[in-house]
Amino acid sequence: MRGDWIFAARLAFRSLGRNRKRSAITLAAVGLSVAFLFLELGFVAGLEEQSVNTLIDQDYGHLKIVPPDYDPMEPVYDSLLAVDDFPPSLLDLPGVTAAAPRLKFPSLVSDGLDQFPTLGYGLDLERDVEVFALDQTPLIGRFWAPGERGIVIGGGVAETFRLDPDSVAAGGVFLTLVGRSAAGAYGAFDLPVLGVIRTGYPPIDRSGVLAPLELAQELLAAPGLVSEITLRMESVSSGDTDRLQAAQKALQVRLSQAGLQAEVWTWRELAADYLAILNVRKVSSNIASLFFVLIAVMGVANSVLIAAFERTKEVGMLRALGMRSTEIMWQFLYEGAVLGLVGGMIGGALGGAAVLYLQQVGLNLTALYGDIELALPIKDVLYAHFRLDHLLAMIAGATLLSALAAYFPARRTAKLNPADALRAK
Amino acid sequence: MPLVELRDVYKTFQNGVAPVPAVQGVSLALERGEFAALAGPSGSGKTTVLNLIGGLDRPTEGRLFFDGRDISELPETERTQLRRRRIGFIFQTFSLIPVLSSVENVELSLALLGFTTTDMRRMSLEILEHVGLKGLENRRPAQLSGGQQQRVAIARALVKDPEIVLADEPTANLDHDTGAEILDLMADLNRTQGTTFLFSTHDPKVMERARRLILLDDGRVVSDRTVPSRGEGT
Ligand SMILES: Nc1ncnc2c1ncn2[C@@H]1O[C@H](COP(=O)(O)OP(=O)(O)O)[C@@H](O)[C@H]1O
Ligand SMILES: [Mg+2]
Repeated sequence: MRGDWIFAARLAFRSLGRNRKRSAITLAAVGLSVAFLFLELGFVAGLEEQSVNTLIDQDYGHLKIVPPDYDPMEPVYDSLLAVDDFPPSLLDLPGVTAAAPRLKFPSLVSDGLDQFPTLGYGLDLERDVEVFALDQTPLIGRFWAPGERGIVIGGGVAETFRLDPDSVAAGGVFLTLVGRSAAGAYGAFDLPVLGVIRTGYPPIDRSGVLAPLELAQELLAAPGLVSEITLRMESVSSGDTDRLQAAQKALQVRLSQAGLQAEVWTWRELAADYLAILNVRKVSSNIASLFFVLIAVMGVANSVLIAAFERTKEVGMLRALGMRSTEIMWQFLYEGAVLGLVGGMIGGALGGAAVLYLQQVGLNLTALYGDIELALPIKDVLYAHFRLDHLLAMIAGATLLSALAAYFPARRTAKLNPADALRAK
Repeated sequence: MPLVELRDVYKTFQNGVAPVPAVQGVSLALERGEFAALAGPSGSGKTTVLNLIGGLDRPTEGRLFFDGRDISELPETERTQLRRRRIGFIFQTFSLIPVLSSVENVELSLALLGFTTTDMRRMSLEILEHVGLKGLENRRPAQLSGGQQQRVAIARALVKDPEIVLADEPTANLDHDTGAEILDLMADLNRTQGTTFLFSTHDPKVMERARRLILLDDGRVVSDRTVPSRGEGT
């Protein structure tokens, strides 16, 4: 094996030991910045994953059939679909595992003294749990039994009426649910509150009222009608846009062929605004993190600058031995790269351990922020998300950036006239 | 053909306030196998002459030949190549890399020539033994005495079997006895390997050891004579 590369690498690593204190400080700067950055990315990735899962599991599903001119940001629910128009055979596409109708409707809830606007969700529980995750959601009390008339309310609704969830669960609490039919007629039902739910999905938690589908249809005088049919697909990861869009197209074609006036949306389209907000968050927190990176890069540049200056005479000696000025420059770049690599690995280990821990245990947001409601579709605990690709990219990035940071000091020293370099102290 | 020849070489430094004429019309020729001293007081231009011969610097005027080839105008890359293969340097301050062991410091010379790691190691261990450092191969410079460090430097210069070794005051940082040992070693290598040596000194005791004494003063050669054999030469 040729010895020159091995030699250069060995020398670069050994040079960490020339001035241990300085190396330690530089490594700490690089390591901390990598650790912080990885932690930050881990939380953002966790936030993204958790909130996307919540959106999908509680409301969006993977694909949604809605009436034409549906606006996901300001849905009005004034046109509805006939559920019988969409038999299982029509919805049976490759990859689709389940479909469930929901009837969402603007509603009012009253306890006889006060009334508040809410959003009603008429659910066919049996089919709903195939698509959504209501059955895995913390609930105090219970859902209705088949044929039973009753409602489950979001935690925020319970608070609004100062209802203690435990006494709700014990039974005997009634609320009046008011809805308005397409013809403009109001209907009102006195219903027992069977449970209080916390989904982590703000629209349901703050103002959601869940009711049996037939009950909601009766209230709105809309038998057989629903506002949407949501489809779940098997193993669609959040990055799997192609399969999602293929299924969307196929379904849309089927609906058109059946002569149905309905549109198919993917969860991505439904969540577009939310994802955009999330991206802005990501960018701004990444910019904040760049500050750390900048400090680390300056640390490396400074470290190499001092090293190159201190070793001017040695550089002269190396030139006398016949080392080319480019080889000298590379030597300093390697040293910068080693600072980045070693610092990156230290930081990666620290940050990686922290992220893995926070992936298991999570960060309790309610404990941190108290009862302030977070406008994020996540539950109380935010779990970080460990991404090996991010970690490796960051170590590689730290290595590369550090080599770049070493460039100018390295070039300056490498370009010195050998005789002048030798005369240095 | 002489190995090294200087023809009316001048070197004037311009980087100060006033130009400094360090070398003023030096002409001399060195044959292969010589063991020559470049003597003179501090500031007389010894280092400058050695640097010019070694291609570390360019003459302001005059011609400089290495093995018959004019190197005074040679581009930097080719002068680097020349130093890499054919010239060995030894410095007053030893100039070893502190984070490398003795053997690694010697290997450095060979690494630049593209030897394999195994060849590098074998050759370096051999030469270290030759300069009397067997058993100290893995010590770092800080764990060696001054004389031992200079032996490593000699091994580093010699391991690539250069045609000439240029030594700038190699004994100036050593006590008298150690300096004498270093000179013995250099003379021995000159005799056994035929390597040409040109070393500078301002120490009369060291000058005595040379077989040719070139005396510099104020950038000029004021005397150049062969010293009668005194036992260690052939
Ligand atoms: N790079 C330089 N810039 C300015 N003056 C120099 C430089 N190098 C050497 N000199 C001057 O040239 C003269 C000869 O220096 P040098 O060759 O180092 O002498 P010696 O090695 O005999 O002590 C001295 O006056 C020294 O100050
Ligand atoms: Mg000198």
